[in-house]
Amino acid sequence: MKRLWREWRRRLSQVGKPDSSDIAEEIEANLQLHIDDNIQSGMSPAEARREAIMKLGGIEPAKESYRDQATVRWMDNLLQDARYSIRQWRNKPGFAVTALVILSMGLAASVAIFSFVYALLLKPLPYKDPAGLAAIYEVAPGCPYCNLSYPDYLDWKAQTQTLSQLEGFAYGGFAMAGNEGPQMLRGARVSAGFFRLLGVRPVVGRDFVDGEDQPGKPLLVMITAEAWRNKFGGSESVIGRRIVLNDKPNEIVGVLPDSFQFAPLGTPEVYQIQIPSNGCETRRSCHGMYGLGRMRPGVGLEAVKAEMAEIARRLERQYPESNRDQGGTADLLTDTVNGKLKPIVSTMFAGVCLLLLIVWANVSSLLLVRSEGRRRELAVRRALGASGARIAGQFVTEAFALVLVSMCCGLVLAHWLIPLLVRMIPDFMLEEMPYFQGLHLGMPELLFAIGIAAATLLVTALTPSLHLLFSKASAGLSEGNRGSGGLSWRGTGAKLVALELATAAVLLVGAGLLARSLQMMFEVDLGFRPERLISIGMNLPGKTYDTDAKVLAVQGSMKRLVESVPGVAAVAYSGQSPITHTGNTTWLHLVGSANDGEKIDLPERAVDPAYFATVGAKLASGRYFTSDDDDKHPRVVIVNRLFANRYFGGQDATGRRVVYHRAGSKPMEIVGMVENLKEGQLDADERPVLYVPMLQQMDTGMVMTVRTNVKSEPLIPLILGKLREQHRDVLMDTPVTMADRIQNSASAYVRRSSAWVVGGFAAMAVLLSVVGLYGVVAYSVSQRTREIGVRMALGAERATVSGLILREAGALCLVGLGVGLIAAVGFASMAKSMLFGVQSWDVTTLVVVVVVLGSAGLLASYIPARRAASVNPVEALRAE
Amino acid sequence: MADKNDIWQGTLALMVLKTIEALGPIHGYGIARRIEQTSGDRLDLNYGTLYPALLKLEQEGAVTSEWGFSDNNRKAKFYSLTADGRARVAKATREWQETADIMARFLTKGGVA
Repeated sequence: MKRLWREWRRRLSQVGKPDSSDIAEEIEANLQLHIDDNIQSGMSPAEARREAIMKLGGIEPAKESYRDQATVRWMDNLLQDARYSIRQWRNKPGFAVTALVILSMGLAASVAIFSFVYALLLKPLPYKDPAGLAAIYEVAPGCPYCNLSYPDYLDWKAQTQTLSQLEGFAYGGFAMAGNEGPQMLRGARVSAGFFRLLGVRPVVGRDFVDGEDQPGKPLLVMITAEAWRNKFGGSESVIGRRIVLNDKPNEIVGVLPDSFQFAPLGTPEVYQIQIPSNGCETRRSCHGMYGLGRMRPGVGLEAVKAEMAEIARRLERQYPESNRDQGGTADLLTDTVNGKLKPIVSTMFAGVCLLLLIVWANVSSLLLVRSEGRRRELAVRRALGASGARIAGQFVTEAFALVLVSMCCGLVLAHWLIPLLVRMIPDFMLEEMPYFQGLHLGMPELLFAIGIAAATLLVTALTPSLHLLFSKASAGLSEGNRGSGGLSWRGTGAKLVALELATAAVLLVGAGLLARSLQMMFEVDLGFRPERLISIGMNLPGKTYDTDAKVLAVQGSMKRLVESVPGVAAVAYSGQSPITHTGNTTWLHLVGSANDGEKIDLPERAVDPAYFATVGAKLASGRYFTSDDDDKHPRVVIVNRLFANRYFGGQDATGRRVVYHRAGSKPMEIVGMVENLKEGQLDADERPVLYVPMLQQMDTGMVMTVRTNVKSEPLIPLILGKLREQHRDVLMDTPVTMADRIQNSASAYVRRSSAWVVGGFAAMAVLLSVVGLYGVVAYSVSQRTREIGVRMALGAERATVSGLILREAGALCLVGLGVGLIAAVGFASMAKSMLFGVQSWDVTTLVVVVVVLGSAGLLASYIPARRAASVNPVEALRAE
Repeated sequence: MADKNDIWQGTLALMVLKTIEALGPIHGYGIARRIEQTSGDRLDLNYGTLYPALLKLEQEGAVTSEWGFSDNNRKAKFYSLTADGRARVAKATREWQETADIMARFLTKGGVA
């Protein structure tokens, strides 16, 4: 072992060193001794030498086998090639730097995006056998994946055959009582077997036990590791501790592991056992939870779907009043978790693949340019006996060095880029995407990077090797000119550049269309004035504010408090804020009209008398609510214009009457009609909406809307300070301005983020294609120096010469742009759902893209064209 | 020539070491000659294979080399054993003898009974 180590240490130490041995001398000396002996034994000098050399087996082979032992041959070759490459790079740093920058950028971008793709689509969910988990939904008209009601859930749980286990989970926010006033905790409510279903065990304490979720049992909670550390002291003594959540005592029984996440619930801090306690969970018609089941082995999703639908049919027959038109369905949990973001992430990944294609095309083109320049050198080397493999090896080594360096740079870049991209996601959205939290450069990303690097190596090594090896060695030698070899490259390179320009055009058009969609969306008529509006979500503890009078009193007090803040113009309450769609709908019948019997499903909003004036709605006819519209007076409602259009044929709605689809409901008069307010997502279609007076439908949850005379943001701390000071028991969300709400709304966010991302790719693609175009044109110019010299010697003007080059570049640009625009319109038509208010062939966008790409292309070709025009004909010809 | 034996893989090193041990500092040609003579001209040695073998032994630290002059006053490179080489010769000799001994028992008539 020691011997082997010594030998290899010495051999390795010789790698890459010039041959310093005296082997030639030694062989010659021994040969002389041999010859002397031979002569002494009577041979002629010539014969003596011949015999000695024969015995040696030839001088050169002896030296060769000596050198094989002296060092490690393949390493020696590799190092030699690497040195040669570096020498080449040093001579032409422009090539090396361009190639390195492009490759690093491409690698960094693709690895960064891959980390998202991996986290979302590839990484298995962190549960026991995640493929067997199915989310269970009810189906209602207009709601294909709807939540369950608790009684329905219990029936499904009891009846299912295809699921071995069915558990429930529901959203829930908790106000935890404390010395500092109530503290808001993100929460969830889950049935007793929920964590066992997922295969998640608490790190401290115990799990819920079956049966603990029965009515009458004490409330138990499990907390997440994060909440444990940050809010509960992180000590094991937390087990058994009693906390007051929403005015009810709870006992902490367990702490969940750090790795636990359940995206459908966002990022709760507290998981409370789901004991049917509130009114909703006792009513079959109140839908407020979801189901999660484990499919029995061998049972497919389709079978589960069929069974859910069948059970729903049985329940419909059994409870026609509450379960009419209600079906059931299931979906793989994986799809539920990934569904929303799949299109975005897939789009991004497709963008990265396009980008990589461009990068490869560009680097190949740069390598081709260089290999053309080396055609003669290589021909000489081959003629001198270098094998094809040895020459290909040279290219592989060069590509390897290039890829290795760029991979290192790219990984460093990606390491910065990934957290940067995560930070681009607003916090409130990130809370719903626990799988993106703490995303970093990990093993999967490294493996992916290595894969990309290997593919890059293949492309970069093969392009020049194949190109040169398939062209005859002798041709390069005899020709020694700049003509025909250049032509073959110009053909290939031109195609590559046209492809790059086309890709850049596609990405630019995509980014442009998304940006235009965003712009159009912000210009949508909201039906109210969103500027200088603040909204604050509020919750009153039900225990203190148990009567309408008390609620009314505190509302009035808070309203007066806020109105006293200088700069505040008006204050109003409503059940929800505009632009938020919570799916809170009600069922209605028209009284005494043609569609009398039809059940209308529409959003219902409770608003106070000041609401419409405060948000700046427009009254179409009738009146707004007044403070007289309370529970002592007849019930009245206001509808929007679309309601009248749809159900009263566009006639005035005031004076007509509607009634709830509910036993014992009394008809209510429509006293006013407002122009449509945007009550849902910005890009959603308008819906008929029902407004009811808050005084006739009191609730402890509400939104305070504040209109200010001055810029809203600076007033927020003042308002919040006053409210907190006086009303410590009221739970308040962080106030948001309406402008922020619009900017951060899901529909705006999706388009903005994709516009940024696609725009980022587009910028890179433009940069790359300009580099590519420049490379091709510059190369063409350098190859045609002689031709240009001849033309100028024959009297061509400089303008004619540069025109010649510009025409060539212009043709390329035209082809690339043409193909790109057609492809872009095609892609955009396929991704129509992402567009809003613009057509896929939006002329403005297309014109802007043509101008941007065209001028960038002209600039890229102008520089080499100028150089061509500045050729000195005498020198160009003398160089021959 | 055809009836001469080729050198077995791995045995050359030991032959070289043994030769150097016996004849003190000695040049490559001398080693080659000596090996052929010792074998009673039954081995056909390609002198070219000697150089990588000597280099390997040198890399392994079994021999050292030094330029000097031969009997007939020609410049040549002389090889001598190091302490390590000497130990190796002793050990390898012992091992070979043992192997040869065992093989002999098998190959003589009635060896395997």
